[in-house]
Amino acid sequence: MTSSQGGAAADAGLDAGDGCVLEAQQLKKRFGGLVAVQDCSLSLRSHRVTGLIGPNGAGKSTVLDLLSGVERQDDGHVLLRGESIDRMSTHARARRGLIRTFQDPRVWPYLTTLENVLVVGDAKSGYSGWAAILRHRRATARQAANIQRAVDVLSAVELEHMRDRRARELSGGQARLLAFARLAMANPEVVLLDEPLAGVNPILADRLLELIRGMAERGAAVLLVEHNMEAIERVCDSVFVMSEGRVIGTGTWEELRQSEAVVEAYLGTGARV
Amino acid sequence: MTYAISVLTLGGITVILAMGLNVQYGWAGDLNLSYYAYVALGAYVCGVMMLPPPNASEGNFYVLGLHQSFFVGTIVAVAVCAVVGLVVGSIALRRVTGDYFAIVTLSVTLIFYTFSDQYAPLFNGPQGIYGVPHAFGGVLRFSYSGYNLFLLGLVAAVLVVVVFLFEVLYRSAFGRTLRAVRDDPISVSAFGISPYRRKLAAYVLGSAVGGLGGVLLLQYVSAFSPAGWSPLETFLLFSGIIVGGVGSVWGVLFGASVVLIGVPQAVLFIPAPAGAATFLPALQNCIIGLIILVFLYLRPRGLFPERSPVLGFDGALKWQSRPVRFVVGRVRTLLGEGAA
Ligand SMILES: Nc1ncnc2c1ncn2[C@@H]1O[C@H](COP(=O)(O)OP(=O)(O)OP(=O)(O)O)[C@@H](O)[C@H]1O
Ligand SMILES: [Mg+2]
Repeated sequence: MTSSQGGAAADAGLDAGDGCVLEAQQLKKRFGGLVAVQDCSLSLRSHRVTGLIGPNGAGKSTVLDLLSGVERQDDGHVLLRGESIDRMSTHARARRGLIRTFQDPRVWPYLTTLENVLVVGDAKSGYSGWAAILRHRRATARQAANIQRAVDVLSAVELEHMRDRRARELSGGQARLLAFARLAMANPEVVLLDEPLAGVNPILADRLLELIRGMAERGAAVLLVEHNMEAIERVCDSVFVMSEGRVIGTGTWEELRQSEAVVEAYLGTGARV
Repeated sequence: MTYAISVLTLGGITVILAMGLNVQYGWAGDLNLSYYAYVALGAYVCGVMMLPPPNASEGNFYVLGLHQSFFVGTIVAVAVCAVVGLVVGSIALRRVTGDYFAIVTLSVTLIFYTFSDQYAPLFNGPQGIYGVPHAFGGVLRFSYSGYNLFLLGLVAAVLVVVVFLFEVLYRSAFGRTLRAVRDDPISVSAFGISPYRRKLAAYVLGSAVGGLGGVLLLQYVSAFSPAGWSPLETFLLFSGIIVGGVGSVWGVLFGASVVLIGVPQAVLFIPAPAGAATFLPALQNCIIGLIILVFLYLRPRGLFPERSPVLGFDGALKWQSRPVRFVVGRVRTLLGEGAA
């Protein structure tokens, strides 16, 4: 396997291993006869944006499903801050700060844009069916705080003017921005992004990249799946390359460009900028 | 007059029932075909709580027969429905979703229906329970018509409380999350909410309201037997929800009133062929079925589609819904703008 160790080693030197927040060990996932992910190990560090690239069908989204618990691996382990979360449900993982987006934006179509973001705030403040009735005033006050934050988050992605429109009325790109806004509202410690820039106009894409960097700077560990190599080059500290379910290389972007296997498997196929 | 009171009482009960079902179907997105089983369970349990011990020499059998007050009977009935809902829901909702959930719930109804019909020691079999004492009969000694008026008032009061409660819940984080769960449970779980627990809460809440409606229904007919209901009764409630607006509290209030009170009354104006006693009920069901089809085709989200509250920066809710705007407007005019 041609993998460049330079970047990873430099990182290890910096963090002495402690910065590793999320770790996947030899994950394997098969769908019937098809092995979608195989022998896949990767790790995410706080304060770092890690890229995950690879051709269509390489297994990137499946890795995100395994990390977030949407799918269960057939083999291997997922560790969050050194603890195994293999048996943990998606929502339990999310409550520990691991939040993902989906390749489809998966917004809630019959909720308004603002409500889509508010639900995420509600999730953080806990169960509130009783509170709404028994402690109405307090619930309303908390809601007011949530709304203020939700509106801020929406203006950060320039969706504020759509706040009272149902999410199903948003364009494809706007829906993706909303998905990003929900993620930002969750203020996660571990962020898994599945092609957040697809369909987003270049100026806003720049803004999103800044926001992603900002999350990392505030201490989050970010995994970014993206086909836009320019974006990967700009924000990622290190990159994993997948092909046919396997990690075939890792290192900084510059190192990977020099790796023949990587170029052959992916960059040579026209995705190069 | 007596007739109008009777129609309104039954109508009010039916609207309460539709409200409860709307929480499960409209908010949580669970096609619950067992809803009427909870209505029946509520009625039966309240009945056997209120009735004296069964008189075996008259061929009556049922469990309990504790001769309790209506108040105690209602609390026990609603609690039993909630607990049964919790048990059934925690089994059915954990793994099965969508069509499978609907099929599981249909089986639950059929099992309960068969049991209540065939297993006499439970609720007196096909004869059912009858002669249930009037609510608060010991305290308030009403005449027959006075009692009917009282019952209408009771139903109206319960309806107001249920509508108010559901309105608050709908706008709360609970209602909002539930609607998100309905739209896409997996992406909800990705933000740290267990869709299962939310759905279960909705299922239990709906079951409890169904049981409460059953209690009122029992008071209305003062009897309950398998001949008086069928598992298909749930479909009539669905028609009210679909016409009014799936998920919308005010829509369902309106839709259920129109379809479930209006249609049966309108049908009475149609001359029935002599000697065909089942003609009108059959016609009524055909018309309701037709209404469902027309609405699903032309206006699937109902007359008053579920609205999202417009939220101001201060967290105050400005309500968009037309009926509410209408009522609030009227009240403001009455009080004078300054007071409002
Ligand atoms: N639920 C599923 N059932 C069956 N096969 C699946 C399922 N999900 C993914 N696969 C298969 O697993 C392989 C990897 O898919 P995955 O979605 O992870 O690719 P990807 O790297 O995200 O691709 P893209 O860049 O196109 O999004 C594909 O061959 C796909 O057909
Ligand atoms: Mg993918």
